Amino acid sequence: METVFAITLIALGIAATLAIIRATIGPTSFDRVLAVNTIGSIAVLLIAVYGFFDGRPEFLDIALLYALINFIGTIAILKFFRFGTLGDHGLHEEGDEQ
Amino acid sequence: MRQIAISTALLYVLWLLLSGHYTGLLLTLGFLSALGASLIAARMGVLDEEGLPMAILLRLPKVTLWLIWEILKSNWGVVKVILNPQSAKPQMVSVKASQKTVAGLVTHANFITLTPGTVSVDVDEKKNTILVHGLTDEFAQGCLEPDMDKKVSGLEGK
Amino acid sequence: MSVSVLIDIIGMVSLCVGSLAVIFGALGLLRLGDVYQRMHGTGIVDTGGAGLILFGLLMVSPDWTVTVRLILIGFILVMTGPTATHAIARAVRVSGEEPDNVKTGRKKAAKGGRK
Repeated sequence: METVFAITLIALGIAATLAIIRATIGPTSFDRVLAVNTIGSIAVLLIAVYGFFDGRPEFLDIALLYALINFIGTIAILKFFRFGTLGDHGLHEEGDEQ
Repeated sequence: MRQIAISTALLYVLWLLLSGHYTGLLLTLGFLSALGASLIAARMGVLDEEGLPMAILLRLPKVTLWLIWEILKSNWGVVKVILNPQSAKPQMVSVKASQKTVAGLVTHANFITLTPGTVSVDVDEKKNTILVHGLTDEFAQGCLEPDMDKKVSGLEGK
Repeated sequence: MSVSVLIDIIGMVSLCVGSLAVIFGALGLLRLGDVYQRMHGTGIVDTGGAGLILFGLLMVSPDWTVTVRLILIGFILVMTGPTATHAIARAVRVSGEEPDNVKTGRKKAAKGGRK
């Protein structure tokens, strides 16, 4: 069983590396956001599998939090791209463009 | 009021499942925090039919197996395209949605994005259409079939 | 005894297939043509990869608190993954970037697929 966990960890590491390459070369900034979002998903799985590998399933709590923060972070970055601020001011100025 | 009760119950069940400590004091504190979170949510005005769509949530298990099967099928399809990137023929199609509530429309758009190979790019609430980017002809045309639309409308009830 | 061995084997197979799916998803992120197509690669990581790996862990989970957390992680990933992808897709479209290989323009693309 340990071996399978180790293989999964290595595979997740390779996948994260591929995503990091995309985040580095990504032509547009949206490519980078997409790659970072993917890295976040991979990191959630990595933390969960590492918890099992190490015999400490409490790591799952951290994975849970990481999943939530990953989502909020992506939305925050996109909001910053669009409005240039994380506050409420931008929304009223240019909120209804389609 | 009913929404606050449902939300408190859901949050308390979640707390009970995650906590693992069951003493009188902690159970009370857990209930109080669930109630407090629900009250704050109600004050923010997010606890309406859109924020807590019970009709859809309760019927969700009915489509889960079908959705998992669809996801596995389209996963395989996308893997084939990734192995041969030249075979990708991206398309934009506009899918008609028959859902009546906003929550139903969001569920439909989420299901479309959830199946790999199709991503919902834009949702038009007024015209009830979802603009979908499909990786190949096959995915885009599969999205136009009314199968998923019917299932999601079934989730809404009447 | 044999049932638990069978469950372990299902878990291992699921973990291995899930690892493959994650690698293919990341590969898609790297290989596909433009930003719209790369989103489909992310889709594989978020659905197939995460689902299979979490299912595999579920099969070997030692007790019920772990099971609850795994199901919750799966639920959160399934809820937030598509929403984040849709947010990115919409942001790309609002920014004016057009998908490759789609010959029709913005207006026509919206009409093109209707039956």
